[in-house]
Amino acid sequence: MIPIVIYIDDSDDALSLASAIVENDKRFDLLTLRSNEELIETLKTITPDAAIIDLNLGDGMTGTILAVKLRAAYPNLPIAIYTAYEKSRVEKLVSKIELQTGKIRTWEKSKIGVADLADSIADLLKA
Amino acid sequence: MNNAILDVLSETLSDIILATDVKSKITYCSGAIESMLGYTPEEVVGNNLTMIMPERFREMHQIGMSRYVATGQRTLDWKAVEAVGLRKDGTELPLEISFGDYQGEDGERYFTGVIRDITVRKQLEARSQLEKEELERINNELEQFGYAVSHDLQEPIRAIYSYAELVRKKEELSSTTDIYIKNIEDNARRLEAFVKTLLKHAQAGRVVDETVLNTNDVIASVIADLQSAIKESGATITYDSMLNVAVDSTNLRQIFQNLLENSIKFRKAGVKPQIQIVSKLLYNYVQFVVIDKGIGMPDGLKDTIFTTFQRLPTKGEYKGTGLGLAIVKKIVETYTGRIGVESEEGVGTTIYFTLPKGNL
Repeated sequence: MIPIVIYIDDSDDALSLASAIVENDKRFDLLTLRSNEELIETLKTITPDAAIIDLNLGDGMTGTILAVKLRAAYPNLPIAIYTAYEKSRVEKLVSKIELQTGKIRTWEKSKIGVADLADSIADLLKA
Repeated sequence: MNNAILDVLSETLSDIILATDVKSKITYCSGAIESMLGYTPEEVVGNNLTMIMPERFREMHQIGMSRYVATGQRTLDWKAVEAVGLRKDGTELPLEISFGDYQGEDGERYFTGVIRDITVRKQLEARSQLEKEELERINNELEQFGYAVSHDLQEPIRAIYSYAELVRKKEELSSTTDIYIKNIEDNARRLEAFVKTLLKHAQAGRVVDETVLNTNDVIASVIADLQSAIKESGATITYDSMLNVAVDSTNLRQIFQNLLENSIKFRKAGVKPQIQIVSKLLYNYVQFVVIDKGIGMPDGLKDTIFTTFQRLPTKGEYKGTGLGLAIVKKIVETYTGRIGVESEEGVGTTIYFTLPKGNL
Protein backbone atom coordinates (compact mmCIF):
# COMPACT_ATOMS: atom_id res chain seq x y z
CA MET A 1 0.00 0.00 0.00
CA ILE A 2 1.30 3.43 -0.92
CA PRO A 3 1.21 5.74 2.13
CA ILE A 4 -1.30 8.59 2.02
CA VAL A 5 -0.10 12.06 2.94
CA ILE A 6 -2.72 14.74 3.46
CA TYR A 7 -1.90 18.38 2.76
CA ILE A 8 -4.29 21.05 4.10
CA ASP A 9 -3.94 24.61 2.83
CA ASP A 10 -6.54 27.31 2.15
CA SER A 11 -4.69 28.41 -0.98
CA ASP A 12 -5.60 26.54 -4.16
CA ASP A 13 -2.37 27.77 -5.72
CA ALA A 14 -0.28 26.28 -2.92
CA LEU A 15 -2.12 22.95 -3.21
CA SER A 16 -1.76 22.82 -7.02
CA LEU A 17 1.92 23.66 -6.77
CA ALA A 18 2.61 20.93 -4.21
CA SER A 19 0.69 18.42 -6.33
CA ALA A 20 2.70 19.40 -9.40
CA ILE A 21 5.98 19.09 -7.51
CA VAL A 22 5.38 15.57 -6.16
CA GLU A 23 3.46 14.32 -9.19
CA ASN A 24 4.51 10.78 -10.21
CA ASP A 25 6.43 10.21 -6.98
CA LYS A 26 5.92 6.55 -6.21
CA ARG A 27 6.75 6.78 -2.51
CA PHE A 28 3.39 8.28 -1.44
CA ASP A 29 0.07 9.71 -2.61
CA LEU A 30 -0.50 13.37 -1.80
CA LEU A 31 -4.11 14.19 -1.03
CA THR A 32 -4.73 17.94 -1.10
CA LEU A 33 -7.50 19.41 1.06
CA ARG A 34 -8.84 22.94 0.94
CA SER A 35 -10.40 23.28 4.38
CA ASN A 36 -11.06 21.83 7.79
CA GLU A 37 -14.48 20.66 6.48
CA GLU A 38 -12.87 18.78 3.60
CA LEU A 39 -10.45 17.22 6.08
CA ILE A 40 -13.25 15.99 8.36
CA GLU A 41 -15.10 14.51 5.38
CA THR A 42 -11.93 12.77 4.14
CA LEU A 43 -11.04 11.31 7.53
CA LYS A 44 -14.37 9.40 7.51
CA THR A 45 -12.97 7.09 4.85
CA ILE A 46 -9.20 7.47 4.90
CA THR A 47 -6.51 7.06 7.54
CA PRO A 48 -3.56 9.32 6.74
CA ASP A 49 0.06 8.24 7.18
CA ALA A 50 1.35 11.80 7.50
CA ALA A 51 -0.04 15.34 7.44
CA ILE A 52 1.25 18.64 6.10
CA ILE A 53 -0.60 21.70 7.37
CA ASP A 54 -0.47 25.35 6.38
CA LEU A 55 -0.30 27.73 9.35
CA ASN A 56 -3.14 30.09 8.39
CA LEU A 57 -6.15 28.14 7.23
CA GLY A 58 -8.66 31.00 7.19
CA ASP A 59 -11.89 31.17 9.22
CA GLY A 60 -9.80 31.45 12.37
CA MET A 61 -8.53 27.89 12.07
CA THR A 62 -4.78 27.62 12.45
CA GLY A 63 -2.39 24.85 11.54
CA THR A 64 -1.34 24.50 15.15
CA ILE A 65 -4.93 23.91 16.38
CA LEU A 66 -5.43 21.37 13.61
CA ALA A 67 -2.17 19.66 14.54
CA VAL A 68 -3.35 19.28 18.13
CA LYS A 69 -6.66 17.79 16.93
CA LEU A 70 -5.00 15.42 14.48
CA ARG A 71 -2.50 14.18 17.06
CA ALA A 72 -5.37 13.60 19.49
CA ALA A 73 -7.07 11.40 16.89
CA TYR A 74 -3.88 9.79 15.51
CA PRO A 75 -1.21 9.91 18.25
CA ASN A 76 1.67 8.74 16.03
CA LEU A 77 0.83 10.74 12.92
CA PRO A 78 3.90 12.53 11.53
CA ILE A 79 3.02 16.22 11.06
CA ALA A 80 4.77 19.14 9.38
CA ILE A 81 3.61 22.74 9.57
CA TYR A 82 4.24 24.17 6.09
CA THR A 83 4.38 27.95 6.18
CA ALA A 84 5.21 31.09 4.27
CA TYR A 85 6.34 32.67 7.54
CA GLU A 86 9.96 32.55 8.57
CA LYS A 87 10.76 29.49 10.62
CA SER A 88 12.12 31.56 13.50
CA ARG A 89 8.74 33.27 13.91
CA VAL A 90 6.75 30.06 13.75
CA GLU A 91 8.95 27.87 15.94
CA LYS A 92 7.80 29.65 19.12
CA LEU A 93 4.16 28.88 18.25
CA VAL A 94 4.96 25.30 17.37
CA SER A 95 7.07 24.68 20.46
CA LYS A 96 4.08 25.71 22.59
CA ILE A 97 1.85 22.97 21.16
CA GLU A 98 4.64 20.41 21.08
CA LEU A 99 4.29 20.10 24.86
CA GLN A 100 0.86 18.66 24.10
CA THR A 101 1.45 16.90 20.82
CA GLY A 102 5.07 15.81 20.75
CA LYS A 103 7.44 16.63 17.87
CA ILE A 104 6.09 18.58 14.93
CA ARG A 105 8.25 19.68 12.01
CA THR A 106 8.27 23.21 10.64
CA TRP A 107 8.89 23.70 6.93
CA GLU A 108 9.33 27.07 5.28
CA LYS A 109 7.61 27.20 1.91
CA SER A 110 10.42 29.26 0.41
CA LYS A 111 13.04 26.75 1.52
CA ILE A 112 11.32 23.41 0.90
CA GLY A 113 10.04 23.44 -2.67
CA VAL A 114 10.62 21.88 -6.06
CA ALA A 115 14.04 20.51 -5.22
CA ASP A 116 13.18 18.77 -1.98
CA LEU A 117 9.47 18.67 -1.12
CA ALA A 118 9.10 15.05 -2.25
CA ASP A 119 12.19 13.91 -0.30
CA SER A 120 11.05 15.87 2.75
CA ILE A 121 7.65 14.13 2.64
CA ALA A 122 9.30 10.73 2.25
CA ASP A 123 11.47 11.57 5.24
CA LEU A 124 8.43 12.72 7.25
CA LEU A 125 6.81 9.34 6.63
CA LYS A 126 9.72 7.64 8.37
CA ALA A 127 9.15 9.66 11.56
CA MET B 1 11.34 98.58 42.93
CA ASN B 2 9.07 101.47 43.83
CA ASN B 3 5.34 101.27 44.18
CA ALA B 4 4.67 103.21 40.95
CA ILE B 5 6.44 100.55 38.88
CA LEU B 6 4.62 97.79 40.74
CA ASP B 7 1.30 99.51 40.09
CA VAL B 8 2.02 99.82 36.35
CA LEU B 9 3.18 96.21 36.19
CA SER B 10 0.17 94.80 37.95
CA GLU B 11 -2.22 96.84 35.80
CA THR B 12 -0.61 96.04 32.48
CA LEU B 13 0.09 92.32 32.94
CA SER B 14 -2.40 90.03 31.29
CA ASP B 15 -2.10 87.70 34.31
CA ILE B 16 -4.17 88.49 37.40
CA ILE B 17 -2.18 89.35 40.49
CA LEU B 18 -4.11 89.09 43.75
CA ALA B 19 -3.60 88.84 47.46
CA THR B 20 -5.76 87.27 50.16
CA ASP B 21 -5.69 87.00 53.91
CA VAL B 22 -5.53 83.68 55.76
CA LYS B 23 -9.31 83.31 55.47
CA SER B 24 -9.04 83.66 51.66
CA LYS B 25 -10.61 87.13 51.68
CA ILE B 26 -9.30 89.00 48.65
CA THR B 27 -7.34 92.05 49.76
CA TYR B 28 -5.91 93.13 46.41
CA CYS B 29 -6.65 92.30 42.78
CA SER B 30 -5.13 93.66 39.57
CA GLY B 31 -7.12 94.94 36.60
CA ALA B 32 -6.48 91.88 34.43
CA ILE B 33 -9.39 90.19 36.22
CA GLU B 34 -11.82 92.24 34.14
CA SER B 35 -10.85 90.76 30.79
CA MET B 36 -10.18 87.30 32.19
CA LEU B 37 -13.14 86.73 34.53
CA GLY B 38 -15.53 89.63 33.86
CA TYR B 39 -15.31 91.17 37.37
CA THR B 40 -13.81 94.54 38.22
CA PRO B 41 -11.17 94.50 40.98
CA GLU B 42 -13.64 96.40 43.18
CA GLU B 43 -16.21 93.63 42.78
CA VAL B 44 -13.88 90.97 44.17
CA VAL B 45 -11.83 92.78 46.80
CA GLY B 46 -13.36 92.06 50.20
CA ASN B 47 -14.97 88.85 48.95
CA ASN B 48 -13.77 85.27 49.40
CA LEU B 49 -11.44 83.81 46.78
CA THR B 50 -13.87 80.95 46.30
CA MET B 51 -16.13 83.31 44.31
CA ILE B 52 -13.89 82.76 41.28
CA MET B 53 -13.92 78.96 41.73
CA PRO B 54 -16.64 76.58 40.59
CA GLU B 55 -18.82 75.38 43.49
CA ARG B 56 -17.35 71.85 43.44
CA PHE B 57 -13.83 73.04 44.33
CA ARG B 58 -14.71 75.48 47.12
CA GLU B 59 -14.86 73.12 50.09
CA MET B 60 -11.57 71.47 49.13
CA HIS B 61 -9.93 74.90 48.91
CA GLN B 62 -11.14 75.91 52.37
CA ILE B 63 -9.97 72.62 53.90
CA GLY B 64 -6.54 72.91 52.24
CA MET B 65 -6.07 76.53 53.32
CA SER B 66 -7.12 75.86 56.94
CA ARG B 67 -4.72 72.93 57.13
CA TYR B 68 -1.85 74.99 55.73
CA VAL B 69 -2.48 77.90 58.08
CA ALA B 70 -2.68 75.51 61.06
CA THR B 71 0.14 73.11 60.21
CA GLY B 72 2.23 74.64 57.41
CA GLN B 73 1.57 71.49 55.42
CA ARG B 74 0.98 72.11 51.71
CA THR B 75 -1.43 69.84 49.90
CA LEU B 76 -0.29 70.91 46.45
CA ASP B 77 2.66 72.38 44.62
CA TRP B 78 2.53 76.19 44.74
CA LYS B 79 4.04 76.75 41.32
CA ALA B 80 2.01 76.57 38.11
CA VAL B 81 -0.92 74.65 39.56
CA GLU B 82 -3.62 73.93 37.01
CA ALA B 83 -7.09 74.80 38.24
CA VAL B 84 -10.56 75.65 36.97
CA GLY B 85 -11.80 79.24 37.26
CA LEU B 86 -15.32 80.63 37.27
CA ARG B 87 -16.21 83.79 35.29
CA LYS B 88 -18.82 86.28 36.39
CA ASP B 89 -21.16 84.94 33.71
CA GLY B 90 -20.94 81.42 35.21
CA THR B 91 -18.74 79.91 32.51
CA GLU B 92 -15.57 78.08 33.42
CA LEU B 93 -12.02 78.35 32.10
CA PRO B 94 -8.70 76.58 32.69
CA LEU B 95 -6.21 78.54 34.81
CA GLU B 96 -2.65 78.18 35.95
CA ILE B 97 -1.93 79.62 39.38
CA SER B 98 1.32 80.25 41.25
CA PHE B 99 1.07 81.02 44.96
CA GLY B 100 3.25 82.75 47.49
CA ASP B 101 2.87 84.05 51.04
CA TYR B 102 4.28 86.94 53.04
CA GLN B 103 3.91 88.74 56.34
CA GLY B 104 2.26 92.15 56.08
CA GLU B 105 3.23 95.32 57.93
CA ASP B 106 0.31 94.63 60.27
CA GLY B 107 2.01 91.34 61.27
CA GLU B 108 -0.70 89.29 59.58
CA ARG B 109 0.02 86.63 57.02
CA TYR B 110 -1.13 87.12 53.43
CA PHE B 111 -1.13 84.99 50.31
CA THR B 112 -0.41 86.10 46.77
CA GLY B 113 -1.47 84.50 43.55
CA VAL B 114 -0.57 84.99 39.90
CA ILE B 115 -3.40 83.65 37.75
CA ARG B 116 -2.97 82.91 34.05
CA ASP B 117 -5.65 82.00 31.51
CA ILE B 118 -4.44 78.82 29.77
CA THR B 119 -7.45 78.27 27.50
CA VAL B 120 -5.38 78.54 24.31
CA ARG B 121 -2.65 76.28 25.67
CA LYS B 122 -5.23 73.66 26.67
CA GLN B 123 -6.84 73.82 23.23
CA LEU B 124 -3.44 73.35 21.59
CA GLU B 125 -2.67 70.44 23.91
CA ALA B 126 -6.00 68.81 23.11
CA ARG B 127 -5.46 69.31 19.37
CA SER B 128 -1.94 67.98 19.58
CA GLN B 129 -3.22 64.91 21.47
CA LEU B 130 -5.84 64.33 18.77
CA GLU B 131 -3.22 64.70 16.06
CA LYS B 132 -0.95 62.27 17.89
CA GLU B 133 -3.73 59.68 18.13
CA GLU B 134 -4.58 60.17 14.46
CA LEU B 135 -0.93 59.76 13.51
CA GLU B 136 -0.69 56.58 15.57
CA ARG B 137 -3.82 55.23 13.88
CA ILE B 138 -2.46 55.98 10.41
CA ASN B 139 0.89 54.43 11.32
CA ASN B 140 -0.81 51.28 12.57
CA GLU B 141 -2.89 51.02 9.42
CA LEU B 142 0.18 51.51 7.26
CA GLU B 143 2.05 48.87 9.20
CA GLN B 144 -0.81 46.39 8.84
CA PHE B 145 -1.13 47.25 5.15
CA GLY B 146 2.58 46.68 4.58
CA TYR B 147 2.42 43.43 6.45
CA ALA B 148 -0.65 42.15 4.59
CA VAL B 149 0.69 43.15 1.19
CA SER B 150 4.13 41.69 1.67
CA HIS B 151 2.83 38.49 3.21
CA ASP B 152 0.25 37.92 0.49
CA LEU B 153 2.77 38.69 -2.25
CA GLN B 154 5.02 35.85 -1.20
CA GLU B 155 2.69 33.05 -2.31
CA PRO B 156 2.39 34.07 -5.99
CA ILE B 157 6.10 34.86 -6.18
CA ARG B 158 6.90 31.41 -4.84
CA ALA B 159 4.53 29.93 -7.40
CA ILE B 160 6.37 31.74 -10.22
CA TYR B 161 9.84 30.45 -9.40
CA SER B 162 8.58 27.03 -8.38
CA TYR B 163 6.76 26.45 -11.67
CA ALA B 164 9.75 27.81 -13.58
CA GLU B 165 11.90 25.33 -11.68
CA LEU B 166 9.42 22.53 -12.45
CA VAL B 167 9.51 23.34 -16.16
CA ARG B 168 13.31 23.19 -16.17
CA LYS B 169 13.26 19.96 -14.20
CA LYS B 170 10.60 18.11 -16.17
CA GLU B 171 10.87 19.39 -19.74
CA GLU B 172 13.51 19.04 -22.40
CA LEU B 173 14.46 22.65 -23.09
CA SER B 174 16.69 24.30 -25.64
CA SER B 175 19.65 26.02 -24.02
CA THR B 176 18.16 29.46 -24.71
CA THR B 177 14.80 28.58 -23.16
CA ASP B 178 16.63 27.09 -20.22
CA ILE B 179 18.41 30.42 -19.65
CA TYR B 180 15.15 32.37 -19.98
CA ILE B 181 13.41 30.14 -17.49
CA LYS B 182 16.39 30.38 -15.15
CA ASN B 183 16.13 34.18 -15.42
CA ILE B 184 12.46 33.99 -14.41
CA GLU B 185 13.49 31.93 -11.39
CA ASP B 186 16.30 34.29 -10.39
CA ASN B 187 14.14 37.39 -10.71
CA ALA B 188 11.29 35.86 -8.74
CA ARG B 189 13.75 34.83 -6.02
CA ARG B 190 15.14 38.36 -5.84
CA LEU B 191 11.61 39.70 -5.65
CA GLU B 192 10.87 37.25 -2.85
CA ALA B 193 13.94 38.41 -0.92
CA PHE B 194 12.80 42.00 -1.32
CA VAL B 195 9.27 41.24 -0.15
CA LYS B 196 10.68 39.37 2.85
CA THR B 197 12.69 42.45 3.78
CA LEU B 198 9.59 44.60 3.35
CA LEU B 199 7.83 42.27 5.73
CA LYS B 200 10.66 42.66 8.21
CA HIS B 201 10.40 46.43 7.87
CA ALA B 202 6.66 46.26 8.58
CA GLN B 203 7.36 44.13 11.64
CA ALA B 204 10.41 46.07 12.86
CA GLY B 205 9.97 47.46 16.34
CA ARG B 206 6.97 45.26 17.08
CA VAL B 207 7.55 43.90 20.57
CA VAL B 208 6.89 40.18 20.68
CA ASP B 209 9.15 39.01 23.44
CA GLU B 210 9.76 41.11 26.56
CA THR B 211 12.56 39.00 27.98
CA VAL B 212 15.70 40.97 28.73
CA LEU B 213 18.42 39.09 26.98
CA ASN B 214 22.10 38.79 26.99
CA THR B 215 23.49 40.98 24.19
CA ASN B 216 26.57 38.76 23.83
CA ASP B 217 24.35 35.73 23.17
CA VAL B 218 22.40 37.62 20.52
CA ILE B 219 25.56 38.77 18.73
CA ALA B 220 27.02 35.25 18.91
CA SER B 221 23.88 33.80 17.36
CA VAL B 222 23.82 36.45 14.60
CA ILE B 223 27.47 35.64 13.83
CA ALA B 224 26.57 31.95 13.68
CA ASP B 225 23.81 32.75 11.17
CA LEU B 226 26.22 34.81 9.05
CA GLN B 227 28.85 32.07 9.08
CA SER B 228 28.87 31.46 5.34
CA ALA B 229 29.29 35.18 4.50
CA ILE B 230 31.97 35.49 7.20
CA LYS B 231 33.85 32.50 5.86
CA GLU B 232 33.60 33.65 2.26
CA SER B 233 34.89 37.15 3.06
CA GLY B 234 37.40 36.13 5.74
CA ALA B 235 35.80 38.66 8.11
CA THR B 236 36.79 38.97 11.75
CA ILE B 237 34.22 40.35 14.18
CA THR B 238 35.43 41.39 17.62
CA TYR B 239 33.36 42.38 20.63
CA ASP B 240 34.03 42.40 24.34
CA SER B 241 31.53 41.97 27.10
CA MET B 242 28.50 43.84 25.78
CA LEU B 243 26.03 45.68 28.01
CA ASN B 244 22.49 44.31 28.05
CA VAL B 245 19.45 46.17 26.75
CA ALA B 246 15.71 45.94 27.32
CA VAL B 247 14.83 45.12 23.73
CA ASP B 248 12.80 42.35 22.12
CA SER B 249 15.08 39.52 20.96
CA THR B 250 13.89 39.54 17.32
CA ASN B 251 14.46 43.29 17.14
CA LEU B 252 17.95 43.15 18.67
CA ARG B 253 18.91 40.31 16.31
CA GLN B 254 17.68 42.29 13.32
CA ILE B 255 19.76 45.32 14.28
CA PHE B 256 23.03 43.41 14.55
CA GLN B 257 22.24 41.18 11.58
CA ASN B 258 21.64 44.15 9.27
CA LEU B 259 24.68 46.10 10.49
CA LEU B 260 27.09 43.16 10.32
CA GLU B 261 25.76 42.12 6.91
CA ASN B 262 26.40 45.67 5.66
CA SER B 263 29.91 45.76 7.09
CA ILE B 264 30.72 42.46 5.36
CA LYS B 265 28.97 43.42 2.13
CA PHE B 266 30.58 46.83 1.71
CA ARG B 267 34.16 45.63 2.17
CA LYS B 268 37.14 46.72 0.15
CA ALA B 269 37.97 44.39 -2.70
CA GLY B 270 40.62 41.92 -1.65
CA VAL B 271 40.68 43.07 1.97
CA LYS B 272 39.34 40.89 4.79
CA PRO B 273 36.73 42.90 6.71
CA GLN B 274 37.59 43.77 10.31
CA ILE B 275 34.53 44.68 12.31
CA GLN B 276 34.51 45.83 15.91
CA ILE B 277 31.50 46.24 18.19
CA VAL B 278 31.71 48.17 21.45
CA SER B 279 29.14 49.26 24.01
CA LYS B 280 29.10 51.84 26.78
CA LEU B 281 26.56 53.23 29.22
CA LEU B 282 25.06 56.65 28.48
CA TYR B 283 22.65 57.54 31.30
CA ASN B 284 19.68 55.17 30.89
CA TYR B 285 20.81 54.01 27.48
CA VAL B 286 23.49 51.75 26.13
CA GLN B 287 25.41 53.12 23.18
CA PHE B 288 26.62 50.57 20.67
CA VAL B 289 29.23 51.37 18.06
CA VAL B 290 29.83 49.14 15.05
CA ILE B 291 33.08 50.04 13.30
CA ASP B 292 34.30 48.69 9.98
CA LYS B 293 37.20 49.48 7.68
CA GLY B 294 35.19 48.99 4.53
CA ILE B 295 34.64 51.12 1.45
CA GLY B 296 32.98 53.92 3.46
CA MET B 297 30.63 56.35 1.80
CA PRO B 298 30.73 59.83 0.31
CA ASP B 299 29.30 62.74 2.32
CA GLY B 300 26.15 63.03 0.21
CA LEU B 301 25.07 59.49 0.98
CA LYS B 302 25.30 59.75 4.76
CA ASP B 303 22.11 61.81 5.02
CA THR B 304 20.04 59.32 3.09
CA ILE B 305 21.22 55.87 4.15
CA PHE B 306 18.58 55.50 6.84
CA THR B 307 15.77 56.38 4.45
CA THR B 308 13.34 53.68 3.38
CA PHE B 309 13.84 52.49 -0.22
CA GLN B 310 17.16 54.25 -0.52
CA ARG B 311 18.37 51.44 -2.76
CA LEU B 312 16.16 49.20 -4.78
CA PRO B 313 17.10 45.61 -5.61
CA THR B 314 19.93 45.65 -8.06
CA LYS B 315 21.96 43.13 -9.88
CA GLY B 316 25.00 45.31 -9.37
CA GLU B 317 28.11 44.66 -7.38
CA TYR B 318 26.48 45.02 -3.97
CA LYS B 319 23.16 43.27 -3.77
CA GLY B 320 20.56 44.37 -1.31
CA THR B 321 17.11 45.71 -0.78
CA GLY B 322 18.17 49.07 0.60
CA LEU B 323 15.91 48.56 3.57
CA GLY B 324 18.44 47.20 6.07
CA LEU B 325 19.40 50.49 7.70
CA ALA B 326 15.82 51.77 7.53
CA ILE B 327 14.81 48.70 9.53
CA VAL B 328 17.58 49.32 12.06
CA LYS B 329 16.56 52.98 12.42
CA LYS B 330 12.90 52.07 12.83
CA ILE B 331 13.69 49.60 15.61
CA VAL B 332 16.09 51.96 17.41
CA GLU B 333 13.57 54.82 17.31
CA THR B 334 10.73 52.59 18.48
CA TYR B 335 12.79 52.12 21.63
CA THR B 336 13.37 55.92 21.87
CA GLY B 337 17.00 55.44 20.89
CA ARG B 338 19.11 57.47 18.45
CA ILE B 339 21.17 56.34 15.49
CA GLY B 340 23.92 58.04 13.54
CA VAL B 341 26.76 57.41 11.15
CA GLU B 342 30.31 58.56 10.59
CA SER B 343 31.94 57.50 7.39
CA GLU B 344 34.77 58.38 5.09
CA GLU B 345 35.06 57.07 1.60
CA GLY B 346 37.85 54.51 1.40
CA VAL B 347 38.42 54.54 5.17
CA GLY B 348 35.39 52.90 6.72
CA THR B 349 32.04 53.37 8.37
CA THR B 350 31.01 53.68 12.01
CA ILE B 351 27.39 53.28 12.98
CA TYR B 352 26.44 54.24 16.50
CA PHE B 353 23.05 53.80 18.14
CA THR B 354 21.49 53.80 21.59
CA LEU B 355 18.96 51.45 23.17
CA PRO B 356 17.43 51.51 26.65
CA LYS B 357 19.61 49.69 29.15
CA GLY B 358 18.53 46.34 30.55
CA ASN B 359 19.74 44.48 33.64
CA LEU B 360 23.42 45.30 33.68
